[in-house]
Amino acid sequence: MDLKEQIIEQIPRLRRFARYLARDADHADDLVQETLIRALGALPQLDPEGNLRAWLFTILQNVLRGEWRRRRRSPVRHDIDADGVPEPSQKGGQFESATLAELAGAIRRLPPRFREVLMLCGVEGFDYEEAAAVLGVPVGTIRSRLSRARAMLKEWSSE
Amino acid sequence: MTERPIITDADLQDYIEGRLDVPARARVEARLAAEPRLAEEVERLRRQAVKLQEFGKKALEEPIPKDMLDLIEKFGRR
Repeated sequence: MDLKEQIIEQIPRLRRFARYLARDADHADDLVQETLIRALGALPQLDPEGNLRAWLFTILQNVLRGEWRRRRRSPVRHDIDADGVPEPSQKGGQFESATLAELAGAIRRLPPRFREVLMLCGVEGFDYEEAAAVLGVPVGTIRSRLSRARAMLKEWSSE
Repeated sequence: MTERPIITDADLQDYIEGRLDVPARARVEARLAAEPRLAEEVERLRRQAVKLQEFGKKALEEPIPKDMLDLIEKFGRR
């Protein structure tokens, strides 16, 4: 598989991750588009033996962080709920069952720092070291945020 | 007298995340068998972990937007 195909293969994962960290699905796709543009521009710097998935997610993470910094400087938005967590619009038919929809809602209520770790480790299957590299934090921080994210989810869950 | 294996919080977390090999899993499960309340909490978290992996699988099936594919296509054609 050539590099282009390998990148294309990661797009659905990038979109899925972005959807839970962005304002809504359209905004998520804008962020992924920006990520791809940056990635294509930075290809010469990519280590061919390296971890392409982690590299792409790191770029997406940088794009997201840039967005959050800009949002903090901008005036109050009305599409953000009281907790400061945006309510994304959901494209229809995205979830197989009510319990998965409940889980999606719970994930969106998590503070962003916990949500991103849960998405990376719990959904994307990154190991702690990979997630630490993507987010630029120590492994210990990944472990504690993951643990707290799961504890919050468990508390909110009806199961 | 049977020895109680020493299980750390990190072991429990690795168990919940499904990251232990078979022998390590067996050690954790042996310890949990002796502590039903902890076992119940760990089991809830482990079930949540499995559900989370299932979650979002639908999103992976979605077709990739054309403009994303075009972007990569155009780049390759230089």
